[in-house]
Amino acid sequence: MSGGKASSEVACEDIVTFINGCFASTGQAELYEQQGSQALSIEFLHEYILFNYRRLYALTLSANINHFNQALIIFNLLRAGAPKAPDERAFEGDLIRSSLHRLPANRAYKLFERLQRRRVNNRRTRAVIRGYFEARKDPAFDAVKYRKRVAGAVAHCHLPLRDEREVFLFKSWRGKRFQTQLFATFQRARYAQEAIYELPFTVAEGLAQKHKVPRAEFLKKIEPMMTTRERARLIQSATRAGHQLKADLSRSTLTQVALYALSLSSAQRAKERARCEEAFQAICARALGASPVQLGRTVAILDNSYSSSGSHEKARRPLAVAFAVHQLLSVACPDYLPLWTQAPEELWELKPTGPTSLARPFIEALKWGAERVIIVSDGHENDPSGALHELVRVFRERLDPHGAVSILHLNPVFNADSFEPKLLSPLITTIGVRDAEDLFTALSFADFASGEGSLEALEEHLRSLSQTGGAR
Amino acid sequence: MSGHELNRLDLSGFERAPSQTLGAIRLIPLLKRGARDDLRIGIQKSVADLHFVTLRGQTLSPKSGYISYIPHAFVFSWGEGRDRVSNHPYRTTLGGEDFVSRDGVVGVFDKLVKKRDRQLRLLPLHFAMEGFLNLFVKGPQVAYNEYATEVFTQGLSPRMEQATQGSAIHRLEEALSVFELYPDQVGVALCVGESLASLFIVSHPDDYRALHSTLLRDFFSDHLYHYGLLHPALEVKSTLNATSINSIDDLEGALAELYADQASFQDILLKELNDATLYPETVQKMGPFRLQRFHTGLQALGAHHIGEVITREDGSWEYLKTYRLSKAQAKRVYLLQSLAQHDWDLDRTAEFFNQSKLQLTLRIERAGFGYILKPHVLEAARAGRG
Repeated sequence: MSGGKASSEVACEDIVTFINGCFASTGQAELYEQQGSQALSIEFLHEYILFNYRRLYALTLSANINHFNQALIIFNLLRAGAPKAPDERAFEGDLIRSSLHRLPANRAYKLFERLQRRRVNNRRTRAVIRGYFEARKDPAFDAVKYRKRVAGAVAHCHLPLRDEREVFLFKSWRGKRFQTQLFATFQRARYAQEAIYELPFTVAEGLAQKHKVPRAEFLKKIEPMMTTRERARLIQSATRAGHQLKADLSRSTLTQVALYALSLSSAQRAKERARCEEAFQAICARALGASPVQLGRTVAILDNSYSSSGSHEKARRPLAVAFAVHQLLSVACPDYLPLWTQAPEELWELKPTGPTSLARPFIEALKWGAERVIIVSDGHENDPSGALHELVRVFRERLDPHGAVSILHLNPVFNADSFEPKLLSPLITTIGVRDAEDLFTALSFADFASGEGSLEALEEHLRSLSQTGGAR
Repeated sequence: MSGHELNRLDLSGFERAPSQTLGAIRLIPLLKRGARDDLRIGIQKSVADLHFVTLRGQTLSPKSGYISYIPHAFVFSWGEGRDRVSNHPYRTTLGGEDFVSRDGVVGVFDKLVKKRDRQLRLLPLHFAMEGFLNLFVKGPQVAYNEYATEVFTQGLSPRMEQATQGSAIHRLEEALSVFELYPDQVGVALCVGESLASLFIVSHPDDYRALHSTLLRDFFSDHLYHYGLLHPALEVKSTLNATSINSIDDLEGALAELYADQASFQDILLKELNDATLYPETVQKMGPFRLQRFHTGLQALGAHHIGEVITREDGSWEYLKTYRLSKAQAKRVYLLQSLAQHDWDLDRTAEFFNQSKLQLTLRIERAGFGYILKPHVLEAARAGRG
């Protein structure tokens, strides 16, 4: 084996580990580990890849990785300064711009704030921020909703504002009458209680405190101004405060709908079931329309053990991902069998409970004649631990030497110690997922993750994704 | 033979599931199918910083009680359905009153075990520990010259032992919180550094679920603290013999083999307690149940456990909690036992140990029982004079 090939294999492995980490990790706490450890781990991984494989690092932006990691890559690239070669610079610049514009606004402004705090203020950073501001459709709305961060970013890169935003953000309002409708409303809302209901929810929330509006009344009147995420976040606490919010399922992702369904008590769940099912179907149809797949006879081994309850910060996410993958597969595959680790009597009473037994369902799947086994689990097998690996090893050695049955492990949890999602077995390809829709990305990425693809093929794959703008 | 007879620890009524490990902690789930619903346990949490426990139901008196940190008490209620008093006892029904002082709240429990209206309140492990401290506590009955005069009136009292709270054991809290409970689980065997630290069994799975985290507030012997830092749990790796597998049914058989491997490893861990002869003491009758405490045989070597158990008439075990004695504790009680067996005669005991009387005297002092001997006897021994 030549030295060149060996190093290219190492590089491919590094990149695959990195991309895999970027699917699942968010720097938040997981059930099995504390918050700080993950943030440290993923940041180290980012720096390592940036300094060793800069071009591929930038290309990762197009691999449908999650927003947290996209923002971190953009931050690191801007901090590192532009590359010398003009074509590299242009290529990287395009990638940064396109993924920045696709990021949710709150993530983008948070990124700018981070750049400011870390004093990253090179020409490219200023140009990227300027470009972002120019492309925003409703700058006034941003200025109100993300007031501090917008002001920070504007000051940080000395952006000339040629409209009322300048006064709104930086100057005294004494005697000023704003022409911009939203600014005027904001000004009024400091004194007139009714005006707060025309503002974005997060802004109104603070002013409602100031006006001492009862929580239930406030939530009732502000409801039309809430975003999908805000609604989802507040449903439980709003119910406690005495106002029933209605979840906006039409604009959610599969995992968000699953999270919503799982957050409900069993009585409420029965009530909301029809709506959730409808939303599931609509989203699945959309996802499958975008990327139709042929999966063959498929078994999903779905982990609903106690550990799928996740952490305080990511409550029930592992279970929600499993639930959502189940919904997606039941639409995508005509020939499909779900196997839960603790089979619920009725699917809609699903809850995280019991130990993680993956070996028994694996045998069941083989008996059923599965061509494809998809395991959704956090990788902590304990009934008994390590059993699945032994079974797969013997199965591959004796019964399936050509790998006719494909086995894929999707892990919604990032493991900080190993810089990647926890493996069930070195013989099973493990891919991190954050949303159930990532299933198709994961499938296209599985060959690389199993170590079969070459570095060139991986780069080619990422380039093709960057040209189509990602499947998402 | 009555069903309550207690000679050996019998876990045959419980199914043992594969263990879950974290660091040095290993938890072996104990399951029971079709658990009955006629003995339920509630927990009475305590807010006081310290408790005074009166032992004979008297009013507060320093002579007949002890002071300890007590995080909670268990309250057992028995009977079928409506006969049973509430599962969730009120503090006021069985607890004493609290005294608020400048330095904190001191709670009072009258008696270690208190029975009233088909309910029984128990301070878990304190009850077993009291039995242990009471062993040979009477001291010498014959007025040998060497013994301090107080020994003949007060016995060995006050007896003292030290223990460590579960929360001090490295990663126990984490291990308990990420542990995945089985639906039928009624108990757990807790091993630290692959040595059996405690068995905890209750009657009903729902109660176990509620009491699982109380293990953290239990006390454990000091050496387990070190085991927790030093000895990670072993990984039981079984390798299947691939050549014998030719079909999926064979593969299913192989899975059973993996389970069997786990089970036999766990049996090794439980063996020391399983094989030990128990010395029980019946304390309370509660309807069809009986509360007993026990200790394993006290030899010079080997692991020693003490515990408390509630048995049903048919011999099944409805509650169990054990404590593993540290080596030092075991040695101390072995010394006391040997003294008692020889009527506290120092000459005969020294002969039994194959030691000189002087050595035995020093041994007694080192074991922390110097106070039972007269000062001049100790001084002479220290000076090396007979």
